[in-house]
Amino acid sequence: MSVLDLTHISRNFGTASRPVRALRDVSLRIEKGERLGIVGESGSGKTTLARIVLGLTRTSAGTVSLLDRDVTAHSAADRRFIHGAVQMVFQDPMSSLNPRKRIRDIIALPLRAQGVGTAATRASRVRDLLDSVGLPQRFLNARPGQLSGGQRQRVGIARALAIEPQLLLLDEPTASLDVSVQARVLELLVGLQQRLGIAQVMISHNLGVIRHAADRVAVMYLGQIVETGTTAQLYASPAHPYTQALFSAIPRVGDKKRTLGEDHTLARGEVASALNIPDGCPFHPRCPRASDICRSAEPKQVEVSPGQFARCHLVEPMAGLV
Amino acid sequence: MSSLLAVDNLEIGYRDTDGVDVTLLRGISLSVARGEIIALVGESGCGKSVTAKAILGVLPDNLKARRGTIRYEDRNLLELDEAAYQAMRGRAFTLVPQHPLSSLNPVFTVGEQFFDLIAFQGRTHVGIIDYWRPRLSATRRRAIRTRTIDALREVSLPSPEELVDRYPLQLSGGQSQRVLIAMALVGDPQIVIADEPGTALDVTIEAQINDLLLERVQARQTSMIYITHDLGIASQLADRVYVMYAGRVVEEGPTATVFATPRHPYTAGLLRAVPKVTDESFEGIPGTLPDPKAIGQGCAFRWRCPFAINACAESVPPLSDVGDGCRAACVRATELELVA
Repeated sequence: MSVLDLTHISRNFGTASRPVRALRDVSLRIEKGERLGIVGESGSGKTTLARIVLGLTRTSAGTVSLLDRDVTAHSAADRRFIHGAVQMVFQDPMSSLNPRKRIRDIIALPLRAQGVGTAATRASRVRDLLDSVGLPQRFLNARPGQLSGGQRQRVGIARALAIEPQLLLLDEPTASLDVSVQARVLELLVGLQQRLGIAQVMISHNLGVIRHAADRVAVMYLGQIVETGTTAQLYASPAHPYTQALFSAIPRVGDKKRTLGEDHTLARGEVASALNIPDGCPFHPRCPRASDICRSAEPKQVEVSPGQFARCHLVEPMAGLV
Repeated sequence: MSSLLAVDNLEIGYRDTDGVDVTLLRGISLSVARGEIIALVGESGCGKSVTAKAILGVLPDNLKARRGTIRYEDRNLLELDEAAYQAMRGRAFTLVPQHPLSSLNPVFTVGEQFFDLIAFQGRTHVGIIDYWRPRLSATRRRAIRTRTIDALREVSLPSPEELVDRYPLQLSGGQSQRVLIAMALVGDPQIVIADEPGTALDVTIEAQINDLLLERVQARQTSMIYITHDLGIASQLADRVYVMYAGRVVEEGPTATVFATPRHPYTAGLLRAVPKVTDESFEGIPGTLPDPKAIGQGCAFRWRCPFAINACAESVPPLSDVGDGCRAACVRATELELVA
């Protein structure tokens, strides 16, 4: 049984004559205990995808199935089912916690909303949750304003874990934190996953974070998954030129100081808008290797090595497959 | 190499509402030579941006420089009056801001914003006659427009002739940042201060912006002070790096040397905390930044430092020579074996 199964999801916004095609034929499957990383730049459809999984946005086409139940229709019962199984950790721990509430009430809210347990069992569950995210019990009566950014993000994680979800959605959970704190929150997430085995979807643009927080990676560009594979595969041999461009763009500690005239960026120009997606391969205007076929025909998904797929005309399919 | 700009032992603080003196910069010293690129790295609250604001002379009113000097050529900037300071902004030093989308005025076109900059840069006050004179002269207008288009072309913006008449809202984040870089360079400055110019942008665009900055700065032999929390960017851009913690420089030296063989436990901790794209493990630094009111005497990192000893609480360790052109502010700098 897969935790989440998205098949051929599309989502358009705007009018029929001028659609914003936010998601175009996206299929994803997440197994129990699996950690999927979603990488992409702004406008690539990451957030729309997350909203669909959370039941906040409907699909234009395709089906969403959660724990083998079809929840595409988004009926009231479907939504209740989704909220009992999927929880989210937000990017900004400043604005995602109610500043007027005490930490104990913030963490207990999902339990109350789902009608789990009595007041006493909920209180003891909150204390356990604080322990499991490494916060001292004295924070129970504190308010978010008294906590640092890293501590607040831990509260956000505790809140998401409260109802023992089957799937955790993490939207850039460490992006607003300092490096030294980010590493500690990441350690916590990795530890929790090992202990609880909750399936996770982590959205991030930080490839270093994804490397350590995901088993499998999906790279999105203009509403499509352009490459997917295990973390090991993708980081060892990225096949799609966009994935390669992303890797080339990350500055690494220990890089030599760059000199004039040296060209190291692989993606030119800017991301096109979802209002006006280029014909053929959506990446071709920025691709250094684009040829005629890239301008005219949209590439199909090709299996480049077992389990690694890329949407590109230029990659060679795996030997033995047609 | 003689320095173009030298900050010496700068202390900046404010008095809070209870009348307690709070110190944000606790004796910062740094220098930039002509054509040199330095990076200020550190986490939020370490004083990177306050340092930049102090150099630009745009500190908030409640922040006061209590001690130290900022020397540019032969002048102490802290002693200048506002008119003299304004005459230097944009020419001696200039800023490339962090948030491109909120740094341009949304109600004026790109061309209009350049017009004021080119016509009136360096002045604190423009009277009505001065204001209209360049606008009423067709030759002046044409000359300024040509100069604007050239400036936009220099930062590789496509079709600058059309772009001058656009409003900031019609530009993408990357284009806005290019416009701001062009504005920063239009007065032919000696020092560019770039305050995390790419963080608000997507990764591939951020890489383009950093490339462009490096290219423009090197082509003009301009110096640059690049503020960032990304140690990778500092590696790629800077000749020398200053690692800051809680209002002090804790380590400085040639970028490659500092990052390969850090001598201060904070630098080493920071390097280990970066999640790498390789299999290499990472670990965070325990604890949080101390409250500036509670540092007292002693090393500000001592609560989070795995190597702290009694001596660390007694006095502030001075920046001292640790070889290879590096200096570190740690009493145990020469005895510790640190792993980056």
